[in-house]
Amino acid sequence: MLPESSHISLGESLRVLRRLWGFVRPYRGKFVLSILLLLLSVPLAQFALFLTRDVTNKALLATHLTADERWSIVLSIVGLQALFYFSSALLSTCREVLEWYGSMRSTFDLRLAFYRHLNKMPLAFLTKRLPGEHLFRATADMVSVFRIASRPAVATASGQSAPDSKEVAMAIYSNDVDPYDPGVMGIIVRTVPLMVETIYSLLWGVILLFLIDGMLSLMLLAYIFPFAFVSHRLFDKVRGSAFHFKETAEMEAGSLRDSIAGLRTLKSLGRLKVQRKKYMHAVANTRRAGIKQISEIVLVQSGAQVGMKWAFSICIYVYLTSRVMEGSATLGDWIAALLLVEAAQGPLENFVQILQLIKVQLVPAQRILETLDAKPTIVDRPGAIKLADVSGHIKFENVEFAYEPERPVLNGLSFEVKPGQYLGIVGPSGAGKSSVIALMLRLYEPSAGTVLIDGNSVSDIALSTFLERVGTVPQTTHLYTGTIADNILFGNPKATREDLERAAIMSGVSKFAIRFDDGLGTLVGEGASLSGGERQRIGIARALIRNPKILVLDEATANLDPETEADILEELKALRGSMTIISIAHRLKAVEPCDQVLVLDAGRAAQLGSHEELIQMEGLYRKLWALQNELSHLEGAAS
Amino acid sequence: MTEQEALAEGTGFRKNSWAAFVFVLQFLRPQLRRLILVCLIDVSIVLLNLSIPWFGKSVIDQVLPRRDWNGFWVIAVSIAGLLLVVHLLTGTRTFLYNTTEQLLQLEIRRKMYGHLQRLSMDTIDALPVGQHQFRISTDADRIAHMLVRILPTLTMLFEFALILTAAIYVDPILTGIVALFLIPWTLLFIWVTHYGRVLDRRRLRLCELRDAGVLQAAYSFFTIKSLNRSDHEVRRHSRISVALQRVANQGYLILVGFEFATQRLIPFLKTNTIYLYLARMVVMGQMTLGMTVPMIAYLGRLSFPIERIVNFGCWIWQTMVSAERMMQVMETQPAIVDKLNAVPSPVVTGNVELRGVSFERPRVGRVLSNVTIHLKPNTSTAIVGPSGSGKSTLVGLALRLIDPLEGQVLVEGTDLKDIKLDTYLKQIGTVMQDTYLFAGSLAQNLLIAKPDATEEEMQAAIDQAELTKWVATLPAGMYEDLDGGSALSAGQKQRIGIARAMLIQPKLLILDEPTSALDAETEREIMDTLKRLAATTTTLMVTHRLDTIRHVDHIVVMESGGIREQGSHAELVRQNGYYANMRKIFTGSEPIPQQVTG
Repeated sequence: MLPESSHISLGESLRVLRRLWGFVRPYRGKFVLSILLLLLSVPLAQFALFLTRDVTNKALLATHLTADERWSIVLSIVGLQALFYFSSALLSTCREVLEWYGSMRSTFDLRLAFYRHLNKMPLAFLTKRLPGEHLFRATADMVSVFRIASRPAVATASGQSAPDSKEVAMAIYSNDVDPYDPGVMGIIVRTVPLMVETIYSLLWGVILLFLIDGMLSLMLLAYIFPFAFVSHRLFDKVRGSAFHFKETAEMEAGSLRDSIAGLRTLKSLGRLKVQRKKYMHAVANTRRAGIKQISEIVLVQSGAQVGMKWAFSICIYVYLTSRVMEGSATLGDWIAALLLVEAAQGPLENFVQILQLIKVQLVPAQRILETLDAKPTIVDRPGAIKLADVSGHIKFENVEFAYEPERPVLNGLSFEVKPGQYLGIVGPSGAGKSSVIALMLRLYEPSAGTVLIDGNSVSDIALSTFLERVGTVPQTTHLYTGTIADNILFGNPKATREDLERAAIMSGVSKFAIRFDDGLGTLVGEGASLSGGERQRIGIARALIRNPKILVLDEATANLDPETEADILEELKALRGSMTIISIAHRLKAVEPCDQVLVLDAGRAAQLGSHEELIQMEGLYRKLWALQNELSHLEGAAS
Repeated sequence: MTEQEALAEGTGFRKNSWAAFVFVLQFLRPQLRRLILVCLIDVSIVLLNLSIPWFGKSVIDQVLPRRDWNGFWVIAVSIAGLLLVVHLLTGTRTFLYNTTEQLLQLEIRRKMYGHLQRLSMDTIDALPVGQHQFRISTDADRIAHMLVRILPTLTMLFEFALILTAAIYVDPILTGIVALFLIPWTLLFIWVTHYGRVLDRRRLRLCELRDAGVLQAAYSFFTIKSLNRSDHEVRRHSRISVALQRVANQGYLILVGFEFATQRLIPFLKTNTIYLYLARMVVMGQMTLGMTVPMIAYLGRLSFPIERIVNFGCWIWQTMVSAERMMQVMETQPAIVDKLNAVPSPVVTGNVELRGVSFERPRVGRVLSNVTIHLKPNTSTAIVGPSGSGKSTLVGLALRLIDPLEGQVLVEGTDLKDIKLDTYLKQIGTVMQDTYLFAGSLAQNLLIAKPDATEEEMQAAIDQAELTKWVATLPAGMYEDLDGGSALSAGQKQRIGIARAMLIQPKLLILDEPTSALDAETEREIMDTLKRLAATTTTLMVTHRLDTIRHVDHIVVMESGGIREQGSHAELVRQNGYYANMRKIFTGSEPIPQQVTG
């Protein structure tokens, strides 16, 4: 039942701890101080308990003294006890604040480092089924469950995600669910002090008990190890059923997701009952697993742990009482010893829990570090050329590329785009159209050949100086939560109001925004009711507001109805000449207005020419053209 | 309240919390016997626990001074026995209590799920899937957690009364002093809960903001990377995180202060007062040393039940948000339910008529007015038109996902409203814009449509959808886990949708934009498959791609909720109206009319 990865070797555990310590290091001063305070506060509290013996023996039972004398002894000893207690409490609180500060800051640093790292990773890492993607999806998934701020795609896209990655997400984001839970950093900032506290207070317990009766401290020592061992074993067992419970709970969540996201399907099939049965079955399974887990916990805690504790207390009680009756111990000893033994139980239970905590947290910690340690492969080389301006000249020289080595996408592709040119790229699916863009923007690196921007290889350029002058419009524009203006400004947050308005007019956004009461200030976001055409126009405005020298359209009009597509193509014509435009399309209609059309076939340039030229030529373009107009020819024959 | 009204209210709808509380109490009734048993066990545990300190008293006062070995053994055995009973009872109680909570969770889920399933798609689509999930799972758990605690918490009042009476009986003055300590505790608690809630809300808002950002980033890496916004994104994330941290810090410091006051300072003062008072009594000879044991035990416990009750009282209002949300769902009446006297559907041959149907959507207004479409057996009909022209509403009406405002849907001459809906739907094949893949294998996905289908029937459907080759490449064939379809192409998913539709060998096939999410090449392949299948059935297809419908028998062109023109392809081309014009724009076989640019 336990995932195999939960058995981490000792060496690996130490490595994980060392790496995590790296995040605590900047706050080590506070961390060490907090442990020092701990060393002071523990004995103070125990001494206070110990003094109960003296109150009892020296005052309460001292019948040979007068009431007033006894009262003054009471006052002085209880006063001392109070002082001890209070300073111990004060020190503990200070210690907790220090500990919390360290954990909060280091968790914060870890999280930010993680997010920054993720953003540095190449697109391939983020979008392929790698740990990073898993992790990110899992975060998103968790967020959707806890924060209600998701769109349906999240749930369906991640499907049945691996429980481990969910743990990772929990580990990194857990202190939002419970803001005072240090999450994965707890392995260091919480466990270490807890460990020190446990061992140290047990030590003091043994010492103080020794002052009362040597036998008592021996009994405590003899009890510690079997107790810790047995409880630890039992908790391992409970953890198995906890994992099982989690698994069933995930199945239940998956089934629920299916029920809601697939409700339209179920309704139109008239099969609501089938899914309801499935879901209720999953729910009942989860409850059954939950009850099993509870029964095991009850057995472990009441049955074994409390049982041991109870047997131990009885032993101590019988031993102490017999000592008192023999006259070799006082009533004060009796009371103080029982109090000290009782006080030692808490740290003992803690000890078992620490071991469990470390075991549970190591796996997600390891996963986080795995992602953090993945090297970003696409980075600027030292001394990369900073482009002051981009003219818009692009050249591919014998470029070869493959997402997976065994399936090449581009096979020695060469072509050139001059500044201000409007180039269309067409070809059948899998011809490598989108890869051209991915390579040009250096989202991926070619396996051979060079991509030249204004005569410099794109891998020699400081990438951000180049990308700042490029505007890209993808097949579907992602809308961020915010206003239309926010979404356009995403392309260039520094743009002025005039820039914004110009981009809105050029892209045709202003045409539809004018219908809304708030104009460009209208709130949009995922799931908002903008049509595909309107979204694409926002995408174009987002690209144009960057004042680009190169405009890239990646199937930007593919999902639109013919009227809207024609509209947008007409607007793009107005831009020609002022910037280099590269338009990738499947439907030839979209590249008709281009100066030149590059026809890709199996990763090579098959043809190049204007629409009119290509249509006259024998070749792939004409074939595609005929295919896409098949209906008009047939129609002629039919009518 | 009707479903449409609830929709119009949206998420802003809130009834008062008291009504919601009363509403969720109904779930408690079946569990009452179990919970009363829990309370009885609680009472016995309290009584037993209260008796134990008296043994301590007699040990100190009688057994030890008199060296009474017999008394000692009697007491040792009694305490051991009592503790054993207490532990057994505690174990039983924990088990019983948690089982009840699990049963409550089950029951609430059953109710909510069953209800939600019957609501219309408009109501469901008004909220993201995650939010419905949250309601059925997290909200249900919160409500169960609250419900199960009500009676045991009330039992604590009894515990408090018992301890108070006993303590007053022994020493009214000390009891009074100790009770005074409850006042600052309660005031502090109420203040912190109130202030904490304000901070909590702010924190949650920031969390939502940050997480929404992370989520959006996860779905727009291409945009972020290609527009060079990575640094910007990290800065934004860090800015929100810093603000979040600041709020969390504030909350933490308040919590620390509160905990210091309530768990350290007040108990410290209280304990010292008790000690000094008791010591004074012993020294003055007004109390035996042994008597301090029950006194300390009782007075120490006095505040415990009150703390728990106040805690519960403050916490219960947080749960009410969940209860209110739940009530909102449960009180939304499903618009579409079978009539009591509904009849089983006649055998569908494809004779389906939408007669003079109209439909309105809240906030949008009329989306269909007086449309009549008659499907005749073994013919194909296509509905085309721009987005928003009411095409998909027609499909919704034919499947009774919605009911028409005016007019009728007639199936083989019978009003669809008089038919048991699932007996009708089980005879119809549908392919939607996106095919939703359920968890599990291809076979499991097919069986959704016909749970008792044989392997041969499934294989036949796979063959018809032309998936045979692909299935052959899977290690476990049709039993291979598809993992929610994450690795499948849009075309493969649509083919699975087609196989699912074909499994029941439908006489009527309804296709709602089946290829709009596909690229042109895949689109043509899928259309070829559909064309072959449509030859033997009645077909209704909705699409905005005009190049895919030339072959159909009857084309209906929709525009703003009405029929603009209809007829066969040849007729419409001859009419040279809207349809003919749109086709020209699309195929580009003639120059683009200039007015389109306007």
